[in-house]
Amino acid sequence: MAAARLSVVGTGIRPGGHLTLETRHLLAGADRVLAVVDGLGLEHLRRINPAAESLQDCYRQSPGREASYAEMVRRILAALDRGGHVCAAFYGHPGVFVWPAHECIRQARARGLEARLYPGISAEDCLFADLELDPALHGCQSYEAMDFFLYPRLIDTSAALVLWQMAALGDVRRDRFEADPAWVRALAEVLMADYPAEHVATVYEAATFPLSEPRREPISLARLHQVSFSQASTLYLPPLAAPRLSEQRLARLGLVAEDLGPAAYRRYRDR
Amino acid sequence: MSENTKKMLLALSEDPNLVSEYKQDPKTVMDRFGVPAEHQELIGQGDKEGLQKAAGLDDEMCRLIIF
Repeated sequence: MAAARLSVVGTGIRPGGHLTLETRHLLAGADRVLAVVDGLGLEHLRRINPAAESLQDCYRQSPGREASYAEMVRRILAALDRGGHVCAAFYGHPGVFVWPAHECIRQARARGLEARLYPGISAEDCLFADLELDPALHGCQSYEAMDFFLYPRLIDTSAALVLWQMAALGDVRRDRFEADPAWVRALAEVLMADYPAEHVATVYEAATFPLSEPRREPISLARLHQVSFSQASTLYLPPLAAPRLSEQRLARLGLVAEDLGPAAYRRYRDR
Repeated sequence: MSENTKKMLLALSEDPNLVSEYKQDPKTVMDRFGVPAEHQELIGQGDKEGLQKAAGLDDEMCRLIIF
């Protein structure tokens, strides 16, 4: 058996179609595959590597997300102890909102083993496509919703704002996935300090199956508490206005606004 | 259980061109994959539980086509 090494991959949001070619090769060549994916995702993985095992039972075995994640890491590291190429596959992008993916990389490296994280298609990638949002246009702020609420940030209303994991808002013990309405109201109040109450946000959910459509539900901040949030819900707030050009910064470099060459994105943004 | 039904569902989950074709003309796609008439009827009726039982597929696999 070759020396132990770990590849951590993402299977994307839609099982099958979102598997990258790179990920397929890693899965196919692995001695062991441990996967945190649903049934259809596992079916695809087993077609690539029949030895693929599910780690989904970690959610059932352990109370609370922290314990489930710790169990996933333990089992991935235990597989590495047997040597060979271990491939850990996570739903979505393995490096985005996936603590156990990062933790098993850290622990593998602490043991002196080779470990690498590979990109997958994330919910953010789907959001950019489904909402036709180009972060080059206005910029994009992206936060986990509860973290955003608990640890105040400066909000730039000239850029897009994306708040992830709305269903976990108020999940103080980290053991459920249902937004607390009191927390949703409180979050809306925080947002309304910077945005008008009638500012229309979008509750977004990527389509997890190819025949279904993404959820794109518009809702004003004043009515945010009236919508339901699922585990897949993200809140997108469009920018209020285009950013303002800094004449001062241009002047530091001896330039004026007219010196800036044509840029399609800027013309579109400033309309 | 029909392997053909499963093959079609797995193919749909990978190929957006096939999804477009299926949306326009599901019967032609199902016939091409050799999906049994009984399964085609259940899919047409939106009977997810019936398809699960008849095709021996899990809930998630059936949700791919009936939601």
